[in-house]
This record gives sequence, structure tokens and C-alpha cells, in this order.
Amino acid sequence: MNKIKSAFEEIKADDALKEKTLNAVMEKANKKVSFPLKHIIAAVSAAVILAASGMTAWAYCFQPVDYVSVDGSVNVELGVNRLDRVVSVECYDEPVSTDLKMKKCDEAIRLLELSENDNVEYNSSETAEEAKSLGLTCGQFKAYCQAVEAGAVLDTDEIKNLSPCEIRELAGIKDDCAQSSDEKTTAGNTQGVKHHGTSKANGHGHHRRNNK
Amino acid sequence: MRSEFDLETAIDKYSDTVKRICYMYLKNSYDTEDIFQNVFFKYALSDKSFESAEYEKAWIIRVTINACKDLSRNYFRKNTVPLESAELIPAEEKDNLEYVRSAVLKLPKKYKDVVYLYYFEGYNAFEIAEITGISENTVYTRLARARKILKEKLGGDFDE
Repeated sequence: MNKIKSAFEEIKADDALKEKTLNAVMEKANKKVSFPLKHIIAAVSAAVILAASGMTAWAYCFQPVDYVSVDGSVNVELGVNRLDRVVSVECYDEPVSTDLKMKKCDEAIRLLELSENDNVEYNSSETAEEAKSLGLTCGQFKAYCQAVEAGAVLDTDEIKNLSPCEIRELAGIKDDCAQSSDEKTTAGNTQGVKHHGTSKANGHGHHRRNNK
Repeated sequence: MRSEFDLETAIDKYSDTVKRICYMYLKNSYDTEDIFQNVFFKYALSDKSFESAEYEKAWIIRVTINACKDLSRNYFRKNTVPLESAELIPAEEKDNLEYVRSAVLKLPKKYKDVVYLYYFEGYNAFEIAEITGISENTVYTRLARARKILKEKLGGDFDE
């Protein structure tokens, strides 16, 4: 046997140390096992906080608060979040070729390359919900409301494929669409559409593109 | 978590090994108690099933060496003077091989565990490399350097 082995053979743990270790470890381990509830509560609380903050962030970034309805050469409804970014694009006839998501609202409208007689309306989420429940765009819904006010009886299924201008014409309402088309030749700058926010009157905002 | 019986069996079986490693690294019995509790607490909570007693022993040695190194790296401990002397063996139990232990203790820290594992536990270089996490070549190098130092200090009394 080498001398190092012989020298270290002498070192031994005494019984007192063994007993003390056993008691201390058992006490510590039992404490750890008997309080799992504390850990579960902490974990659940952390998960709830995380989920709540995640949902808030999601709602802030991806939940539309305003709807911009475009009726005319393109029929599209843009959902806009609190940061004035497009978060949803719903096309009612042909799909829009350009990707408008997360674009600034003004930028998205500019990319749609609208003609001067296209309607751009800003609507609250409540208006959009009402329009959706009837299967109409906000522009169609507003024209439908005007038609009903004027005493016309229209079937919402029949007007689904009509533009707001056509709905107004159908109801016999004099509309400035015709004027707008006459003014086509004077069309100028298509920029400058400003987001006016949700109109308080009737809960519907309305903005006609001014190309003059 | 392991049962009290398992824990008691492990303490009985590996206490001497843990104490020897503590002896090489630590300066007082309070630190030794800390290490004992840390090592066996980890063992109690570990769900690891060992293939054999040899694997279990190697795990205990590795955990003990790491715990001792962590403790000796602690800034506060590094900068305080221990209340007790470096000696962990009661005076009455001292034998004529004290000078051998003293020579091993005076080795640079990085050589101590290699020397202990090779000469006392009888592990080969490959096994030491597995336990300590260093390469096999480094084990050979450290062993060679430690041997040289021990030969210088112990002369003919150091038998390989």
C-alpha cells in the first residue's frame, strides 16, 4: 500500500458528524417537500401575470380599435390598432395585391391607389360589428342606413355586391358620387388622407377623398 | 426524493470519502459540516438512479470536489482567517504519517484532487478525467508534476 493511501486512511468521519448531517438534511428536505404549495402559488401567479401582460400586449398591438372602410374601385376594410397600424385586412370582392398589414394607416390607403370617387370612411369598432352582422362593409352599411332613413326597403342580401353609391342610387338618394366621377379629370394629389378618428355623430366617421 | 434509509446508508458509506476531500480543501470543521450537508442534501433530492455503486461513489466525489471548490472560491472565506487551525484530525489520532498528509496538503490546489483520486481511491487517468471534467492528458501532466513535488519533499518515503 502506498504511503498516501495509508496516510489518508486515518481520516474518518465521526459518528457525531454523520448524525448531524442526517438530521440537518432530513429537516431541510422535509421543509422543501412540505411547502410545494408555496411554489405552486408562486408559479401560478407568475403564469397569470405573464398571460395577462401578454394578452394586454396582444390587444394593444393586434386588436383593431378603428376600422377604415374603402368602397369603390376596391372594397376593403382595414382594422387599425392603437398605434395607427393596419392589423386586419378584409376584402369583400377581389383580394388586395399589396400586403398592407402593419403599415401606417395613411400609407396603406395610399398603397390602395384609390380613385377620387372612392369612399374612405373611418368607423368605430361598434359600427364595424353592426355592419359585419349584416354581412356588409361599413360603407355599404352606412349607405343602407341612409336608404332606410329615406324610406327605401332593401334586402341586405341583395345589396351585398353593390357599392355604397349604387345603394344610395337604388334608394333614390342624390349622391355626390356622380359629381365625383365628373370631377375625375380634375383629380390631383391622392395623398393627404388623414385619420380623423371615430366620429361621435351616429358613431360613424366619414371622410370623402378630396382630390380637388 | 430519497428515503431516510437510503440517505442514512449513503452517509454511512461515503462519509469518510467526503471527509477526506474536505480535509484537502477546507480549513475548519464548520466548512466541513456545510459541505457534508450540501452534498447529502443534493443526494437526498436527486432522482438520479446509478448503474452501480461505483457510479454512485464517483457522483458523490464529483459533487464534493465541486462544493469544496465553490466554498474556497467564496470571497468572504478567502479573506477571513479560520477560527481553527488547518488540522482536522484530533491530536491523539495523529500518526507517524502526518508528514505525508502535510506534503499532499501543501500541493497546489489543482494537483490535490488528482493525487487523492489516483493514490487513494485508485482511479485511473481516464476515470479521473471523467470525475473532474479535465482532459486525460491534463490528468497525466498534473500527476507527473505532483509526483515530482512529492518526491522532492518525501524522498525515498514516497512510493508510487
